[in-house]
Amino acid sequence: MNSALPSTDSEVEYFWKGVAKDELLLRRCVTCKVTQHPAQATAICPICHGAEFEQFPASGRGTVYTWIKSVHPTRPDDAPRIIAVIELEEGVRLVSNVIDADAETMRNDLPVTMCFVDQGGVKLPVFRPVRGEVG
Amino acid sequence: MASAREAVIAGIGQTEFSKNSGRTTMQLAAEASIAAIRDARLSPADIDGMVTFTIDENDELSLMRNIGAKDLRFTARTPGGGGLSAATVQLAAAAVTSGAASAVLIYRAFNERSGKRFGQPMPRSEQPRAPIPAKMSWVLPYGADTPAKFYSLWYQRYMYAYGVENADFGRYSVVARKHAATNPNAWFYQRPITLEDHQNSRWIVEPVLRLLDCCQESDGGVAFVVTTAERARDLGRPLVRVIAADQSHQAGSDELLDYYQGDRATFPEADELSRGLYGKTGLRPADIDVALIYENFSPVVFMQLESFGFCGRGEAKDFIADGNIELGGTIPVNTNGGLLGEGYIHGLNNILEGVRQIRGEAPNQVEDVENVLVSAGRSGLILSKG
Repeated sequence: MNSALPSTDSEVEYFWKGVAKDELLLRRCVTCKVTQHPAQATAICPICHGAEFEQFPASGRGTVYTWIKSVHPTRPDDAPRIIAVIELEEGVRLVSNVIDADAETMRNDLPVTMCFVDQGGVKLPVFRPVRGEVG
Repeated sequence: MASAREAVIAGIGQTEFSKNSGRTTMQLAAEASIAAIRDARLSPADIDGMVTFTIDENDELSLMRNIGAKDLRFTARTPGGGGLSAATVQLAAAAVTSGAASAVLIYRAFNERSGKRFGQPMPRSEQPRAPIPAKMSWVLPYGADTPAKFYSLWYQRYMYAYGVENADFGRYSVVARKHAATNPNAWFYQRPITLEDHQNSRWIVEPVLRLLDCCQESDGGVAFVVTTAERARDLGRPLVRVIAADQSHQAGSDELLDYYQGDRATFPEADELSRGLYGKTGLRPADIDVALIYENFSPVVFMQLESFGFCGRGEAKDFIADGNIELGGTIPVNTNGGLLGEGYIHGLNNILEGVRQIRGEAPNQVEDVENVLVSAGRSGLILSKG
């Protein structure tokens, strides 16, 4: 399956270093402890304006906020994928894939848990339905 | 009655909207600009300001040389894409009311079908080699690689929250194509569709968008001349007053990838835009005679109808099904056929339609038009008859 590579920009480097160690790292302000989505990383904390952040591993548990089936009509993926916005229990959202699920069984608010897959030589955090939940 | 320094749109111009213009985007920009300047009964030497999109590839000085403008005193560009299309008028209006310029040319031209298509993913063979901007790195590796997919991840939450199905979106597409069918300027002139046609069109993004939910990809150019009411009166042009123009940017939001906060079953920017435009003018939804609503994809019309108070939250599907947005309905929407039916010149063709409706020269003319709302969701304006 073809995948675009993750960015190598320094501001998001920590996230992909975490993925390499099987961790989903989030970042929060050391002073006010507000957690940031990595895609919304700021240079200074927008609340207290401090510039010190710490990273911590997310639990990997969340629910499906929205989802679509990704199949380009004229240039199909090698395999259709479910793309979803995952609401992590830490309160931030992440775009990812849901595996072991298809369009017929996907639903909003489905409980999911993180795992890692290799897509075209790139290691990515993805999610699968929690055992016992139909996805 | 317009005050002397109030901004008006005095001239409009366009090229044909096609799938293969056969000429450069500079030529399209110049042709549309000359048409708008002539329509305003000005000459190129009268233009002393220019406004376009940041992503327009035609630079101001080149366009100056092409059209024969002599002396430019004001330039500005809007952020983002089509969502900020109406911000062009806000910038031009601010320039003429402040005196920074006396006649501002707004232009946008592209070959978005025959050249680089917005709707296509980057060729897969190029993806691994291309540097990926940081914000795209959170979506591209997962296969989200087209605007249809980016936006559907937002619209699906709206469908879930209010029990909306793809066939509901189809009822909007049918109206847009019905309006386009009687507009000779529209790509889909004389080609209406039925709901069955919509439901038989292929999925683009399941379970949200079918082919007939998607806007056109078009080649073409559009231009306007914005000046003061006083000047337009002297030129003998009908007064199309810009009585309010606004932008809306909410913290943490993104024009393309707007997932990371807030209730995605709504469109908070359009809510704030609505508050701003109604607040500045004292108008209410019932005062609007025609609404031109930016739609790269059909679902975003639903959210904007709700944001602007034409119907309640989650009620757009019934509001549309009951015929309210058709010609003769309570609030005719996208009387030109919209970006689905007329063409996609990044939203500026909806402003053209707004001016034509105020002037009384639209192909699908609504009777006694006093106020027109143009909403691109993140920018908008209200035009009024002078």
